[in-house]
Amino acid sequence: MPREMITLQVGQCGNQIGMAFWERLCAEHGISPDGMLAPHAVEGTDRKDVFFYQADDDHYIPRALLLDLEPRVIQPIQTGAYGNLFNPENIFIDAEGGGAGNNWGTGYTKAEAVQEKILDMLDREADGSDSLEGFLLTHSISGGTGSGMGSNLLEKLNDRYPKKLIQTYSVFPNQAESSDVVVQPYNSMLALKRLVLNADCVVVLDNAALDRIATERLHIESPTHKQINEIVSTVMAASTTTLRYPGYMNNDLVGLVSSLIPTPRCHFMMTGYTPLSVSSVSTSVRKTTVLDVMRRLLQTQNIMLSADLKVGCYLSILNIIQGEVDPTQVHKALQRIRQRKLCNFIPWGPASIQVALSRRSPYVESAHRVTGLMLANHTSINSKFVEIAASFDPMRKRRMYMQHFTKLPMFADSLDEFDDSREVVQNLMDEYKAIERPDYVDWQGSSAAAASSAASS
Amino acid sequence: MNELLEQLVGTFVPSATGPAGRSQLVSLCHTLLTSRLSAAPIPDLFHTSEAVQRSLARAGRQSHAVAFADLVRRLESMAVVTRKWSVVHVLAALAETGDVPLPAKPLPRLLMPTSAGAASSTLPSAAVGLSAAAAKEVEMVRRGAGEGAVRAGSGNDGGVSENELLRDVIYALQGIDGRVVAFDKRAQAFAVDPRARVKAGQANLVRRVAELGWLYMRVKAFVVQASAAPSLGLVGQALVGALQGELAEYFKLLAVLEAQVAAGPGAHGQALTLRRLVVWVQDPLVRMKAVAMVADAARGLQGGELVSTIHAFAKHGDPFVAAFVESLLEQVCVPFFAMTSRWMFDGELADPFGEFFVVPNGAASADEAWHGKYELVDGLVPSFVGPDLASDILRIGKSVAFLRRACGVTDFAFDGALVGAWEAVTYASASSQLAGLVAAASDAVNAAVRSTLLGQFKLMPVLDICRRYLLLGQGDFVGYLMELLDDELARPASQVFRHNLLGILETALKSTTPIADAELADKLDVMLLEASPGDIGWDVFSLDYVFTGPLTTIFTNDVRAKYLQLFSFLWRLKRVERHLSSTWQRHVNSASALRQLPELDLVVRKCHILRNEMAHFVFNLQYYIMFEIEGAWTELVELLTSDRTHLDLDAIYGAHEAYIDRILERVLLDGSAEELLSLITQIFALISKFRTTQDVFYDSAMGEVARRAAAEARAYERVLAGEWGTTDKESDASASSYYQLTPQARAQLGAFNVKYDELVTQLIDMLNAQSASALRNLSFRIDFNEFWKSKRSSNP
Repeated sequence: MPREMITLQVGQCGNQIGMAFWERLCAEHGISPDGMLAPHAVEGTDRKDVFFYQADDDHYIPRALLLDLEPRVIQPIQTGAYGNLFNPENIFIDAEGGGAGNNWGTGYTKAEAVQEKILDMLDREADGSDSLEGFLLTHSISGGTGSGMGSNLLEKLNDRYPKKLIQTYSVFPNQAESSDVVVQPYNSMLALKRLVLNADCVVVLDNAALDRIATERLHIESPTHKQINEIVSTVMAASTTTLRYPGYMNNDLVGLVSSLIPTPRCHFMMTGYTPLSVSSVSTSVRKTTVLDVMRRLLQTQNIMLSADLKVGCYLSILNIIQGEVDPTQVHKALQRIRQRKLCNFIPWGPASIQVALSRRSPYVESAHRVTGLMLANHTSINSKFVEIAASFDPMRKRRMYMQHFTKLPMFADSLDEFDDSREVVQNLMDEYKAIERPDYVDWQGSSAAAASSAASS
Repeated sequence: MNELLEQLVGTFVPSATGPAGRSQLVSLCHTLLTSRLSAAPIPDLFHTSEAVQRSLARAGRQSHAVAFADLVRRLESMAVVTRKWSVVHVLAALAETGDVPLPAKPLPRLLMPTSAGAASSTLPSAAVGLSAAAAKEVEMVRRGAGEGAVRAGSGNDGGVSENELLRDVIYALQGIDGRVVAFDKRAQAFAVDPRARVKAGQANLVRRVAELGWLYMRVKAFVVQASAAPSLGLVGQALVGALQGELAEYFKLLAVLEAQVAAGPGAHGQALTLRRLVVWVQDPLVRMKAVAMVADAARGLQGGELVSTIHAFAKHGDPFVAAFVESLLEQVCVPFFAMTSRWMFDGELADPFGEFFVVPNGAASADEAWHGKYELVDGLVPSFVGPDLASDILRIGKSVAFLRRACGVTDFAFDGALVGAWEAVTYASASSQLAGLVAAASDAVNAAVRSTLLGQFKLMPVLDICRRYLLLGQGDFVGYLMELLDDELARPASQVFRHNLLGILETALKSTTPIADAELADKLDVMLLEASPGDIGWDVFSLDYVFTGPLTTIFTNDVRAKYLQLFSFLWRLKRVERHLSSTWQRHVNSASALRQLPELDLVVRKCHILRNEMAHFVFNLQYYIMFEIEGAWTELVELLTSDRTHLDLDAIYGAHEAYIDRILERVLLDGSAEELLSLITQIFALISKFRTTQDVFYDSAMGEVARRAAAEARAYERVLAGEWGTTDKESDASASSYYQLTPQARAQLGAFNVKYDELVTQLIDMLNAQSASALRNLSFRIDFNEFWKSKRSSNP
């Protein structure tokens, strides 16, 4: 089976959302927690093999590596209902078991130490696929393991599989919330550098927006991790639906993301989903039409990014619409959206709302006739980087909490890595800013841009 | 009852000669008793007997009518019967009512002595209810009664006697020249020999009677001629048969007349005179006129055309003629209905003389079994059937033949009641039943054809496979197949072999979304188109499907060619998309490395942006096509699977053809949008060129990255060795080529950009000028954010 995707879930957050994702995929493909195909799903013409392969006894095994530096999250998975789903050889828990202590450096260093073992696991999985398309990494950028170990893995993957795509689902911290992790800005900045340089497509899961959506849209007073993860898994499953239920287009990751990413560096996606629901909370069912869904997908309250979308512009939009859709409605919806000027595109090139129609799993009931996912590349994603930089800069200037890092060999000599990361992120921010300009085509790059902005002010 | 009649006859007609004559009379009376007469009785012997005579004549029993007239004449001359009208009326009424029980009361004594004078005095003064012509004749007869008698007496004044004339006239009625009455070929009529001394009035009467002879000759000639014709056909034979029946009746009439003439005057009271003869032949004349009319019109015609021609007379204003024609059509249509039933219910043509309106087309090839093998011949469609019913009948027979022969369905049969009802159809019932029966048969056979195609021959799954494979709907398969074919198809077309490709096809099918029905999957095939010089594998490769059995009726060579045309375009489009995807991957993979060559930033970005513009176009073109195919497909599925019995094979074929034509039109392949298509082809070509050009540029840039890295490494070694780290002349050559390349690449990319903008702007303009809304939808998609529009307005 070609176009396989190997998933790496790293750290506490990565494993939690990863697990939610697998639960969701199993349900959609009719695979029971032990990996066997449920009797009602035998006849399916879906493509399970993108994310699973079959063992000799025909039970389905996720193409997944579960990686952590402590047993806290993975152990319950192993003993839980889905314990036998995963290949036990693909589960890595660091022998020391001490975790990364919310320190990017520790995570990175520990990952470096066990790299051979992990690369072995990776190679084995890669060799087990006919025509590997790429890797999918789930992690958080603010902690220690997902952030540090994740960064290390991104670099290693890039080295070892330079032609394979790397997509990440990266949880961004809620900056408004006071965190008990004081070095969160450092962790985020250092991880961000790898997301810019070593990932091909980053789906930003903005914790702040997820919390907001859970409270405002789903009316959950204090949303649990499980509920948030369910939202995330819904988004992840929907964004892979064209790979798993192939149609005319977007049947491989390259096709999917290449249409979203006009210029390689600007590969940070935001998502939107409507209508949302989580299993534990009953929500009102509304009437859904294609126009309705496509319009809602452009509304801030349904977009999982806490940023002002009124400023900036879209580089690209892909709507994946699932359910009972009359193809002629799509065109009408597009016309309406353009008439009402509901979205603002780049001024320097052609862009449009791409609409992919995809089948829906027949095994998962949905209260709504039509559901929609939006994957979009919007310059306002920049506000996330600006936020991180804003908390990073004063700390870095005053070398706050730097002792957590300098005690590690990799930072013993120099803290250049911090400044280098900051520069990479700065370049990214500059580019996103420049994209909003009509003359982006002739934009002279970060340094020149800085010079010209200085001259104009 | 017969006994009673015999007694009556014995009593009333003692003169009846022999048992034969008597039984004839008895049966005649019986017939009269069983005949039907209506209208208020007019107490007039002449009127009543005329009525009986006419009804006999109408029934085609001319000879009976004559015999009856004779009997009446004799009755008239019988003095013993006083209430002659009553007798005839009772007999006629009895004949009409059939076996009405006779009143228990004994019949009143009929034998009442009366005088001949009294009898003649009962003759009515007016003949009510007769046709104008007959009334006139009656009048003449009455006025000439005395005169005739006088003349008969003075017959020997040197002229031709009435009796002689009568004999000659009887000859003439048989088309034979007599002594004084002969056929004048120039005038095309019988005429009295001008040398003979015949009074002008008599000659006139002779001419009038002899017209019947002339008509007879025409009919006879037709019958003789037609029977001899080898191509007469079944319908013609039926017509000739019917006409011969008419002639036989005519001969019976002649026999009676001849007998009367031979008996001579005075044998039984009133003799046969020319004037009487004129009256007598009135009805036969009308009838023979009609017969001759039909015979004239039918000359040289065949089958359905013949039926139509005769049918035209059925609308004749004279009810007598109309009735006659209808009786004729009853017989003539028998073979026609038999042929139709054979065709409709068995799908077989039983038409040795080419009379039926369905004809086989010998030139049709095997896969045109449905579309070209049978044709409708408009001229042979009987006018009472009409073109709509005829085409329905054509389709029903074709469908039955299709089911039995192409589909091999042996157990298909029409409902027995329907077949029975059809067998009972006659010309008379056709107008009321034909349409209903044809519709019922049509529904039955359509339902059978549809369920056979959809069930046994899996039409829907096959259509779905065509959409998913020949129209590239199964994206995972298409992607993988392209990947597997990459090496094979890059070769020159002459070095590409079908068997290698078949193996690859199988691999691709095995590794992607499975086709539920493996039997159908096996029929996916590879076809290599005819190669032009310089073609590579990609140019000649095509997916195909092996349609077998009845499916070839839906997927004719024409339709298959359309699929191939679509495949080739969509395949090319998909390939362009792949090129752009791999270009994108190259951009992504080399992004980090190229950060080391900041001087290339602008050129690299130009590459990115141009690729994005191209990808935008290719993706949106594909989205547009996808929605068009999906829309057409949804409609097709709905049409074919909804429970509509009127969907015949033509309609199924038509629906599918309309589906594929609609897609062809929307994808600009129907030949109506050559310019648009050529622009799109130019854009594709430009994209390919862009890809190769930027590949060269990227190769060189990456080479430079590697060169610099190596130089740095060497410099580092030299430094370690204690030398000057910067002197390195080894790779100056490649460096200079790199430095030359950058401006060159920049210029080339600039040129591509200009050309691309030009082509796309032109395309959008042309699309906007199209009347078809679908094409404007395409331009709407391509310029969704109105980038091209604003670009054009800023540089006009």
